[in-house]
Parts: sequence; C-alpha cells; structure tokens
Amino acid sequence: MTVLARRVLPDVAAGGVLFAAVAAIGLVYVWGAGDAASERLFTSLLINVTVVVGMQIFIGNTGILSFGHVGFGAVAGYAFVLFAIDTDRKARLVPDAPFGLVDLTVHPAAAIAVAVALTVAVAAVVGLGLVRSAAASGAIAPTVITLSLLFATFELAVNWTDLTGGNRAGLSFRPGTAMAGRGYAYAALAVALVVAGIYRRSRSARLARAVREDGVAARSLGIHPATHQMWALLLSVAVVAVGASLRVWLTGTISPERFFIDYTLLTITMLVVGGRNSITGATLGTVVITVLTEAARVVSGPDVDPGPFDVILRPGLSDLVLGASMLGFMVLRPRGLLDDWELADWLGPRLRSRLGLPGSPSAAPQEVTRAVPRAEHHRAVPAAVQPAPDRLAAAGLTVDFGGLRGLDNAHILAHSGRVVGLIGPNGAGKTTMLNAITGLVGAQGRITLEGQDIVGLAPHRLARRGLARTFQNLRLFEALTVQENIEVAALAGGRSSRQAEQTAAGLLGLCGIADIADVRARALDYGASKRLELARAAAQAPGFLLLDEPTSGFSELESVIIVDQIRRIADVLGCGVVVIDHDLAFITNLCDRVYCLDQGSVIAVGSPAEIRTHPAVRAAYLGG
Amino acid sequence: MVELIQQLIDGLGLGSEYALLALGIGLTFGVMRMINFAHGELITVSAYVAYGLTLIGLDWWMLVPVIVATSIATSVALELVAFRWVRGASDFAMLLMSFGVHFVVQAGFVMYVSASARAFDRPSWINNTVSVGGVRVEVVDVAVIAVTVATLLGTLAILRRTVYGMAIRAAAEDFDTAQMLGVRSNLVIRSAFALAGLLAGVAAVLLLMRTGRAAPAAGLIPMLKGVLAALIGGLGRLQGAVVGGLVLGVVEVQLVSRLPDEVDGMVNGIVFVLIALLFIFRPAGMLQTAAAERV
Amino acid sequence: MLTLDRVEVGYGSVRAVHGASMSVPEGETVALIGPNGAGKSSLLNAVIGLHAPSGGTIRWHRTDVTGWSPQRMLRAGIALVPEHRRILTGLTTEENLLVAGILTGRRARRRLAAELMERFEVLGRQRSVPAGLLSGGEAQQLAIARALMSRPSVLLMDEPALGLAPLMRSQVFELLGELAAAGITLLVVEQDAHRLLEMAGTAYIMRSGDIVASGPAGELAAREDLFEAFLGNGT
Repeated sequence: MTVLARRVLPDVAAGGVLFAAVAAIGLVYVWGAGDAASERLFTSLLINVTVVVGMQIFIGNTGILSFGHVGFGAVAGYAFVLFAIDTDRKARLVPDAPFGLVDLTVHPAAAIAVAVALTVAVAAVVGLGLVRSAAASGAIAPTVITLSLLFATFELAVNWTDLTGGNRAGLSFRPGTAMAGRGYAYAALAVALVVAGIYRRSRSARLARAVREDGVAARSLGIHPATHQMWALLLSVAVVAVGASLRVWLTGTISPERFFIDYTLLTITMLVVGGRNSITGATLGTVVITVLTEAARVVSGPDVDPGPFDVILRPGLSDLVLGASMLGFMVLRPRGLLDDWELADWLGPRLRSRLGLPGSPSAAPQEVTRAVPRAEHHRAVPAAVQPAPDRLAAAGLTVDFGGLRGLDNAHILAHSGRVVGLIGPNGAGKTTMLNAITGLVGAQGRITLEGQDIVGLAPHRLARRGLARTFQNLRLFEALTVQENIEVAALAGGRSSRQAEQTAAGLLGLCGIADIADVRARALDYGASKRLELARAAAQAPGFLLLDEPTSGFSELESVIIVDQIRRIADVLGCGVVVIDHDLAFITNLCDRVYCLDQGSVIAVGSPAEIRTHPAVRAAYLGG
Repeated sequence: MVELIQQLIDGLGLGSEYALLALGIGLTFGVMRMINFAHGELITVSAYVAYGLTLIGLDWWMLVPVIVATSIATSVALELVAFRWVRGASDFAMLLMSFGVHFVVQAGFVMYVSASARAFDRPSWINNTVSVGGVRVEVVDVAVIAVTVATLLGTLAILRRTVYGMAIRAAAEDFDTAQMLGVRSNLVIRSAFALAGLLAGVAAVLLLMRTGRAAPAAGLIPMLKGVLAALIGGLGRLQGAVVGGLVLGVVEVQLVSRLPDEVDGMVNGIVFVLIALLFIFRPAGMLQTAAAERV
Repeated sequence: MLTLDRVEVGYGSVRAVHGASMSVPEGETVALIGPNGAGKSSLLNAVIGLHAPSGGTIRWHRTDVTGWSPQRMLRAGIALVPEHRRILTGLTTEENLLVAGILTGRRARRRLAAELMERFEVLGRQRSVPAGLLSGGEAQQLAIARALMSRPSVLLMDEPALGLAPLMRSQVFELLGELAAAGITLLVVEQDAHRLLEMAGTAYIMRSGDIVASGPAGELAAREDLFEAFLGNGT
C-alpha cells in the first residue's frame, strides 16, 4: 500500500461510512413509505448533504461565515440548466438567451462539469476580494461581502429575464424527466464526502485551520492566510456547484427564490447545528434538521387529521420547528452537536491496528524521543529550509501609537547561539519591540537580519526568513491537538508532512509534552500551554527565537524547568534567542547579555551582573 | 437643481428609515456584540398590530403610540426569552439565534394569521404633495424626515443626557469597565433593546404608512438594509449607523433616477455590489479609521 | 478592615494568584508591590468582583464579600482605579464621572461630579471634551476622580503612575497622600516601590502568585535585598 493511500485511508473509509449511513436511512424510509414523494425527499437529503459538506469545506476550515455559497449555487444552477435542457424548451422559455445558448445543449452530466467550471471561475474572482478584506475568523467584512453578493445574484437572476426566465416562470426541464439523474446524486455525495475528508488532511487545509484559530499566530509562523482561504473557497464552491446543479436536475426546475435566503439559512443551520468544524457534523446536522422539518411538514400537512392538536398542527409548522431548533441547539449546544469530533479521526487508529499498518510517528513510544541523544534531536528537528541567519540587529527603532510613544530610538543586537534578555518595568516597550521586529506593528528605524533590511516586511515573510516567536498571552491553535499545533508550524516552514511528523515527535519529547500529544490545546493547563507554544516556535527551525515572558504565571520551580528547555532547544537548533522576562533570576540564569528598556528607550546594556547593579535599572524599577 | 433637491429629499426620506433601524442594530451590537438579524421582526409585529387595529377601526393617530409601545415591548421580550441565553457566545451561535427568532416569529404569523399579505388602510393624506419654491415634495417625505430628525434628536438626548444612555455608551465601548463602575449588565442590555425597539417602532410607523401591508416576511428587507447601513457606518459607531443609513438611502434614490431604463430593476443589485466592493476595500466600513491590531 | 484570606484567582488554566492573605486596616495605606505578572492586578480585580476568586474568602468588616458583584462592592464603599486607567474615550470627562455615579441618585450624582470637577481643575476645564483627548496625567486624575464618585471608604489602585512622565508621577503620589490624609483607606499596586513605601504603612511583596514578604513599609524599604526580593533572588 502506498504511503498516500495509507494516509487517506481513514478519510476514504469515513466518507464511505457516512455515505452508507445516509443511504441506509434513506432507503429504509423510501422502502417503508414506498411512494414517489418519499423518494424525492430522500434525493433532496442526498443533495443537501452534498451542499452542506461543500460549505463545510470553506466555513469549517477557515472559520469565515459565508452567506454567498447558495449564491454560487444559483450561478451553477442556471449555468447547468441552460446547458442541459433541450433546445425546444429553451426556444420557448428563453428565446432571447444571449451567447447562442438557445442552440446549445449537452448531456446533463457534461452540463454539471460546465457549471462547476464557470462557478469556480466566478468564485476565483470573488475570492480575490474576499481574502483581500483580511478575512480573519469571525471577521464581519467577508460575511457582509458574501451576503451582499447573494442578494446581488438574486436580483440579477430576477431581472435578467432573457437568460433566467425571471422570477415567476423560471427554467425547467420537460416534465417527467426530473428524477433521471438520481444515480448522480448518490455518486456526488460519496465523492463530496471523500473529497472533503482528503482535503481536510491536506497541508493547505491544516494551514487554513491554523489561521482560523489564530490569525496573528499563524502569520507569525509564516502562513499566508489568503492563499489557503482561496483554495478552500474554490474547492468548496466546486462541491456546492455540483450539489446545486443536481438540485436543479432532480427537482426539474430553477427560479431565483430557490437559491436565495431561505435555502441559505437552511443550509447554514444544518451546518452549524451539526458542528461546523466537522464533516461528520455537517452530515449529521443535515439529517437531523431534515428529519425534524419534514416530520413537522408531514404532521401539519393535509394528510394528517390534527384533531385536538389543531393549535399547533398547521401549515408553517416546519418553519417554526426550524427556527425553534436553531434557538434550542444554539442554547444547548452552541458549538454544534458534534463540535469538532470527526469520524475519520476515530476510525484512523482502529483501522490501522486492525489492518496491521504502522501508525503515525506520534504513536511511537515517547521514551525513545525523550531519551534520544543530542545527535538524534538534530535529526528530529531538521535544519531550517533556508540557511539560518546569524545576526539580528535593530537600531533607531521608533514606534508611535497615535501620539503615544511605544518605542523611542531603541536598539538591540542578537547573535545565533547566544541568548539576549530584554527587561524593563511594565509598559517599557518590551513587547512592542518584539512586535516591531516580527512585523506585527509598523516601526521606523532599521532592522536587519544578516545585514538585510527587513523593516516593513509582512509577518509571514519574516517568519520564512527565520524569525519565530511566542506571545505573552498564549496564542495557541486551540481546536488543534498538541501534535497538530507543532506540525502546522513545521508545515508552514516548508516541510513535508512526514518531516513535520518527525519534527513534532522530536519536540514533543524535548519539551516534555509527548504524553499529551493528542489533547486539544484548549484543554491544556497553563504550564503545558506555555511549553507547547515554545515547541511550536521551535518547530519553525528558526534562526532566532523571540520569547515573550516564557515564565509568566509560573512558580520558581517551573521556571527552572523552562530555562532548561529553552537552553536545550536553542542548543539543538543552534539559534539565537531574544527573551523578555520580568524575573531577574531567570534572566541571569539564561542570558549572555541583557538590555533594559524604560519608557521606550534602552537605558542599560550589559551582562546580567552589570545590569543588576546598574543604577539606572534600579531607578527604573524601584523609582528614584 | 430642483430635481436634485427633490431627489435628495426622497433619498433622505428613504435613508431616514434605514438610519432608525441601523441605529437600533448598532445599539444592540454595542452592548452584546451581536448583529441582530431579528431586528426586522419588530417591523413585522408592528405591521400586524397596525393591521389588527385598523380592522377594528382605530385611527392612525391612535395607532402610532400603540405600535411604538408594542415594538419596545417585543424588543425587550425577545432579549428576555432568546438573546440572553447566547450572551458572550460565539458569532455563529448569536447569528443563528437571531435568525432562529426570525423564523419563529415569521412562522407564528404564517400559522396563526395568514401566509399571504394583508393590506390595511393608509392615512388619507399619504399621497398629498406640497410645492415649495418650485420643488414638489410629498407630505409624507417631509413628515418622515421631520419625525426621524425628532426621534434621532430624542435618542441622542437619551444617550447623552441620561445616566442610562451614558451607561449604554460606556458598555458599548468597554463592558468590563462599565461593570466596574457599577453599571449592571442586565440593565444596560435591556435599556439598549428597549431603545432599539423604540427606534424600530418609529421606523415601522413611517414604513407602514406608505405600504399599508402586513406580511410574515415584511421585516426582512428593511432589516437587511438596516444591518447593511449599520455595517457601512462601522458597527458600534452610533453616528456611523445614522450616516450609513442616510448614505444608503440617497445612493439608492440616485441610482433609481440615473440608471438607464433597461437596468431599472437592477438598482438593488447594483447597491449590493457596491456594498460588497466597499467592504472589499474598507473591511471596517465607510468611516473606518486606521486602528492598530492589538497583539 | 478589609481582609483577604488565602484568596486564589484563576483564569481558565492560568493560576494567577495561589493563595494570598493580607489585611488592610481602616485609614491606612497599604502597598502591594512585585514584578509584572506576579498576580497583583488579578488580586485587585478579584476583590472588586470583576472575576470571582476561585478560592479563599474576602471580608469587609465582618461581612463575607467573596464573589460579590462590582455593584455591591461599590455600594459597600470599595472602588477600584484600574490598571491602564480604562477611561471611556467616547464619553466626555463629565460623562465618565456621571456614569460612575450610576448607583447614586441623580441630584447627588450631579453635585458630586461638580465638586470633583472643582477639585480637579484640569477636569473641570475639560468637562465637555471627549475623554480620549486627555493627556496621560489628566486621564489618571479622571480615573481617580471617577472612582471617588461612589464615595468609597476604600480605594484599590492599580499602578496609578503607570506610563506617566516623572513630574506627573509626583503629582499622582501627592494626590495619593491627599486621599490618605482625607481618611480614605488605600491599597496601592505600584512599580515605583520607593515612593510608595515612603507613604505606606504596611507593605506586601508578591511574586509568581504568592505573597513572599510583608511587614511595615519602612522596614521593607530599608532592606538591602529589596531589589532582589522584587525581581528574583539571583540564584
């Protein structure tokens, strides 16, 4: 079995299981009810799962709420129908259709392909704008953009009657041909589930999820958010386009209303109720919402005698149930039914052991990585992809926060293999200096890495040149496991998945967190979080490691352990370290040279011993 | 020139309604960080109240206070039964919560009144026009602008002069600090919803006088325009919401009068594309200022 | 007497304060010093009720006030001047004061605000100016005046001189002296340890979430190893 096949085995298997589960529910239901209506309902479930899984690819992995996917669905639906219905019908419904579309007809399957291609092209253009708006997770701008475009698409569909047949008539297939394509719906769902699963495991998706969890930290690891958000969008839109085309094919008709706000809210509800970060959740949410609303539709329909329940069993009940389930699920399970539980992750280890396949390196015994001699660590933490820089210098560094001086003509010099300390009272500008060096705040002055000017470079570019950092207030990727946090950093540094796994294995041992490799970062206690952040920064194999208060919140004893770990990491990587801390004992133990900042300026430089006795330092800390 | 003034008045008339809704959405966003997509339900509820009361023959002048009072009560009630449960929850949860409220209210009217729209009598003077210096304006436009200005000034007075208004502004800026100063979170959040309900009630009166129509989805489009106006002005900036509403109204009217007839129906579509472009290039809205990201 | 008995504070997985015990006698000025991240601000925030302590008890006179909301603490006469001042920049100077008086009646609120604006002249001169435009020193005066709006008998002050120029720092310390002289009990966190210890009666030193030393301020100030106690013992 090839490495690739082994890697995606759990995803393919999970896709298969989910597909079989949905199909089984449907077939039992159709067999039980035994009428055409139940079969139509079941195909619409298949299609809805396809669409919702398609939306999950983007919304789940990027954390950006898009209202526009159904709008893309509308584009696909119209493109599909215009290529798929026969020329006689087109001549009757849209005789004035532009681009010679009236005389052009292809097999519906080919029309789906055309629709997907067209919609993805549209999405690429829209995506450029979307990712430009600096789409952070939870950011409002991309949501507004997609919502506006959904409405714009609707208006276009209503008004461009030559092409779309307008709001009332719409476009439709010859009656009676609607269900002809049902086999494609099964195929599309199976493919969508597997594609979403494989994508989820891909490098790009993992980097996109890192951006979702913390954009600032992701950029500081060298991840360029827009690239990965774009890939997620294109793949997601392609799947949604297939689903939308099938929705038109199997219902036989399209009108602007069918791909508008109601369907948007329905699909978003399905996704969020199930758990937007999980493909399994998307599937479950769709099934649950479909069952609830359809049951409501049936019991409130004309076939059921409401009797004494007339007050509730009326037309409109299914919308009430939809609304009430949105309220109920959001109060009781705000992160969705499954949160980010994923079937493939559950299946993976079980499948491997059943088939006797070697596990991933994370499953290797931790003692080995803990005990490996130093030379082994070197292998576990591969050298930087680019040759590591060995001189980081800043001079005349000034940062203004709207009139407030964050830094005032400050300077610093660090060499690889050395540890430089940065101390100073609260508000002295220590973190600002780190932010300026790593490109998170704009600064005036000169910052050079290996003699090259790096002022004004974006954080992800600086990261790729060998700057790694930690944050005072812990910016971990919370929904990712400990191991994934480290692997993402290695992947962002340009390593392959296999190398990233090896790096993670080495660092898990080195930082003493191997036994919690599979725990999600949000469940860690503070000490483990701090160690993980250190490991994540080290996984970039940086030339310089910039640490912001690595011991804050630690007891003295824990601080000693951290000092030891920083030393070992610096040793293994051969990198330079700049460390901010308030603890002079810590600084003395660790540093070769110490800079003391006060009010944005460097007031003293020297060895730890010199700094301890420096009058300006004492004054800055204790007052005159 | 005359035409321009006329269009400007039209635009401000339309924009006034947006501004009232946007301000309410901005107020509740300020204290809860939730975009209230159920804000339109206040209009829907008001519309059915107007429908019901005109059925029993109540005069429009009597209707106004009842509509406004209903809107305030509904707004506070929705906070009590729904929104308080998602305070501090994720954006997704709050969003779904507000859309859930939208669905429930809409379904309620479908189930217990009618799925189709119900018309009711509009005030008799609604189509009267007056001519001022060659500019012919509809009375209703003048009324709308006057009422809006009065309402906005009143709201401003509440926000500036009363300690509760100050507390709302304080909480919108920094909830923790407001609490530390003794502001009770329940109190400000409910005050904000009440005030938003008041503004929506006035907007509903102005809207319903023109349309004379109650439908389960009556509030959807006004809500959307209000949300977009609030976003255009920059969420959480209260003056921004007003400016955003007025700009949206004026631009819409300008587009209607300037676009060639063939694309007349596309006004809304073009407005939406413009909004999308605005947010591509100014992700924090029209009035955004350069704000350093906190790291 | 405000008494803290083994108070613990945690934010999620972060244990900011491990078990701090201290007492603040009425009318006295008590200093709480220590390095960044020692847990001083967390402790003050727990006392005022912004974050409920995860363990231990806080007593005010004989009443157990652990876990009380900020409103109740303010009513009981305890107010906080927060770190970084936390001025409401969108409100005017006067509005900042008025909002802080939300718990008192309208008349009393207006009168007290007027009094404070008379006492702090710079605030009175800029009563209608958006508070975001005040300078650092003025903003600090506003933060203190704002805390006085609840007529507190105890003021918790979190780094009142933070980020101020030397002259402004002196002014703030003078102001602290005036408040103490007026009989207000002060619990002050401050970096400028020498100045603070000069005016304080009792002092506590905090490191890494624990109170590591306490005693009469004069004695602590005279200790040769103060700097080390403050910043780590160098071992």
